[in-house]
Amino acid sequence: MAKRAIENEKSANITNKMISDQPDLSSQKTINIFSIPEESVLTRLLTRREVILIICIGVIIVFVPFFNKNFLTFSNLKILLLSNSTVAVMAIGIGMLLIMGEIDLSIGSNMALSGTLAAIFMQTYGYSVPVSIILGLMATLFVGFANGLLIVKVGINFLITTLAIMGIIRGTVIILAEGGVAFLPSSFNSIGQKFLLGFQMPVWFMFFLIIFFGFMVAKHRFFRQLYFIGGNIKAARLVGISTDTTRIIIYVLSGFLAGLAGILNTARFGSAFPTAGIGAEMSCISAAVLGGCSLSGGQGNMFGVFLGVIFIGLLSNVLVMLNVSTYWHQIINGIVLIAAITFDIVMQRIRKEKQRKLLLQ
Amino acid sequence: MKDTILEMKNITKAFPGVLALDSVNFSIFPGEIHALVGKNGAGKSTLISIISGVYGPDKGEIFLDGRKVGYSQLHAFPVSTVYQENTVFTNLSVADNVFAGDEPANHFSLVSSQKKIGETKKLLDIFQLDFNPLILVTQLSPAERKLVEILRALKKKSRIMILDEPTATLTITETKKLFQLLKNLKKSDIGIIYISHRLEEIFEIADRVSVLRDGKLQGTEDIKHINMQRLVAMMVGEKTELVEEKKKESVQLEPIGEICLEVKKFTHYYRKFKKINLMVRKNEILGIAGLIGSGKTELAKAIFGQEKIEEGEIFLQGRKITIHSPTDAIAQGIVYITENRKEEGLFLDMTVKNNIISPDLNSVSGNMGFIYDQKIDQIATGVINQFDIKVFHLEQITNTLSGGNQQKVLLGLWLHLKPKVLLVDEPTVGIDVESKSEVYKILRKIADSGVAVIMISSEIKELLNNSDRIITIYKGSIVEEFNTSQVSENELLASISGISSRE
Repeated sequence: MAKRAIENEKSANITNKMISDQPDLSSQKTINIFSIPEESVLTRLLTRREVILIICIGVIIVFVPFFNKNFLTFSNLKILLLSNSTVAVMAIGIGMLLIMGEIDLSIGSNMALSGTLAAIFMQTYGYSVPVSIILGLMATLFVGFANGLLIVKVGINFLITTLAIMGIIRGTVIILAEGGVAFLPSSFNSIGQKFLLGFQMPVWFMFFLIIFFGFMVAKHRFFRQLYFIGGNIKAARLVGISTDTTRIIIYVLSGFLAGLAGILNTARFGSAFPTAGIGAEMSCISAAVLGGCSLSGGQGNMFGVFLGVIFIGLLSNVLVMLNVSTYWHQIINGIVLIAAITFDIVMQRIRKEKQRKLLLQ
Repeated sequence: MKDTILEMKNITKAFPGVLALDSVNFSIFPGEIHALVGKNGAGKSTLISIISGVYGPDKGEIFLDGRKVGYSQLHAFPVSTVYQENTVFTNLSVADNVFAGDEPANHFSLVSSQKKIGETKKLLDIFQLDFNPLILVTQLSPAERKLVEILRALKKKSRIMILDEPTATLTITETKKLFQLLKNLKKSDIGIIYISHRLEEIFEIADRVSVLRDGKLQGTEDIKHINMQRLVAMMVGEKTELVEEKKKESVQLEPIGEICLEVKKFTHYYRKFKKINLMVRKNEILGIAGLIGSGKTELAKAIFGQEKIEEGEIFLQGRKITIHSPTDAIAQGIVYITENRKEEGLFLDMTVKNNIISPDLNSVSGNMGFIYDQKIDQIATGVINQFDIKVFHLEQITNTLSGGNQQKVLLGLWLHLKPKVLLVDEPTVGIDVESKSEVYKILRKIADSGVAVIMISSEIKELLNNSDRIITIYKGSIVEEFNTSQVSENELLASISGISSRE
């Protein structure tokens, strides 16, 4: 944050200098009329979603231990991270799609598909573990590609396409797996159960993917295109961004991440069940939106998405700790989502109103 | 003299970042056309929003029919506004549009189609417009859509009608029709507020004119007591130079270079244009004149790879090239600047610097594709300096800039790629006089630096003043080619309207 502020200041200095270099009187007059009043650091911070989430998480960490001593323990941290690792992995894909202004509803089904397929190949057909995993992931890649083709090339609305695909895949998985597939090879299960430096493998996968994609989305040319597509797809096309290819690739990536989540999930539980990932798309979307993505596209980053996932996970963890009935969890999640967005809108309005009043004096 | 319908005194209104109106007085009489002019950002939109009751002013007094009233009264006052943007429902019929939000009911409180169609027909007859009230608005031309909006305003029996740049998308004949309609309207004691950037129109149609500049009223004058020069002076301030006066000196005979771009037998996939042959030289500005719908925009987009072609060849510096998409065109050094800045030109919700580097992601990133933020800042600062774009900092959201500055961002975005051929479509649409002359200067400079410029416009004066050669297009075919120094405005007008004067 601090670095960013310095950068802002730097660029502001450059422009200030630039403007004062102009001898033209009339242009200076316009600048006086339109000059934006300085904003306090507080307002600037409070309009950033990541900052608000960190504050909220901080508040929870400070106050909840008064009610339950087990909250602030390493084992609880492990549980929290582990139980949210699959959602976090899938939320990366959803986050990228939301930046582009689109959504993939089929990730929950897709997650069940990769796990089930890999399990069936291992157990029923006796394929080796790596081959089975690759086959499972290939299937989800294919589903992602199908989503992309239908949306981009055929031109079906993304909600309709992924809703239909979600149903098709879920049905397929149920037919394939029936009651579920258990007793998987231990070398496979170790992917989800092995401990490394105190955390189980899925947590490390999650961290690796979040950091990798976080960096790529922030810094890489290809992922920068997402912001342009989400900002204005027509303009993006005209500036020579290959919108079609990019969109298809992101759908494939979303399918792949869901598949990866499915493998991790199956390995963690040692069995594949066809109901895995039901409703996961909704958790991912609310986490991503909470983390600063907008449904209209062009905004968001992976760090915010991760914080969103952690916040939602933390919330249900706290509710369990406080002995709140699980029925209440969804209600509270919904309220939090609405509250977060409302807070954002109110902050924006207050900010605008302040600037307006300063000018009236 | 009749009493005013509306009188406003010392109106002040501020927005975040802008003092939009500063102690403005304004009045309107029945049966009068009162023109309101000013550059973009001068406060015109704010004033009409207050008149139409969208929001109240921060300070000031309002009198309706001579009585002092509160701000909220204006909300209930019958004012109708025809906005610059089309607000018709294209999926509905003309009659549905005219009665939108106010459907006539029959005895069962259901919508009475009969009444609706009947009354629409009556309105159409009064103004001698001959289209079927049941026709869908999608099938109408932009001008006819504008007329439908005016009919909707009339139907409401408003006391005041506000027209915000009604002629922006209209052709000349259509404008004449609209003016006839407005003259008829004056008899019905309605007060008309007319906003336009086209100053000639104001002298033709208005009774009084008020000039706003930077939120302050510069004066209200009777149209008979003011001339063009004085009006422009009021709008622009101390800088009194007219765009037209600059023309002759700037159009000197530059050493015209070799042929840069040549297009042969270009035919649009949907026949929006047919068998177009044209060429443009280095250092030259080629003007393409045509009415809206003549196919000129499609032609430019086709050269840029954005529209499909049926057949045709493109030669760049004598070499045949194929272009399937904008990416191909950009790689060859051909760029196209759209007429539709807001919809397909800029990323309005993104920062200025991101807009500037949007076509240029490759050059701000290294071999591995990672982006260098410093390089972005460097390029963006360069463009902002070069094109004199007024911004506070590089991270400013583009939407908060004025129209003229947005247009300069759009120009900068494309021109820093150092293209060989520049296609620019309606480069000055919806921007103020001062920015216009800056844009013209930029285009001339670019041409002088060895670029072949094709400038597409429906504003004839603009082409006459700024291009070296003009091609006219009518219904998808080239009509004639003129040397700019040897053609008059009237000849061009006739040519683009399909009446060739040289035959």
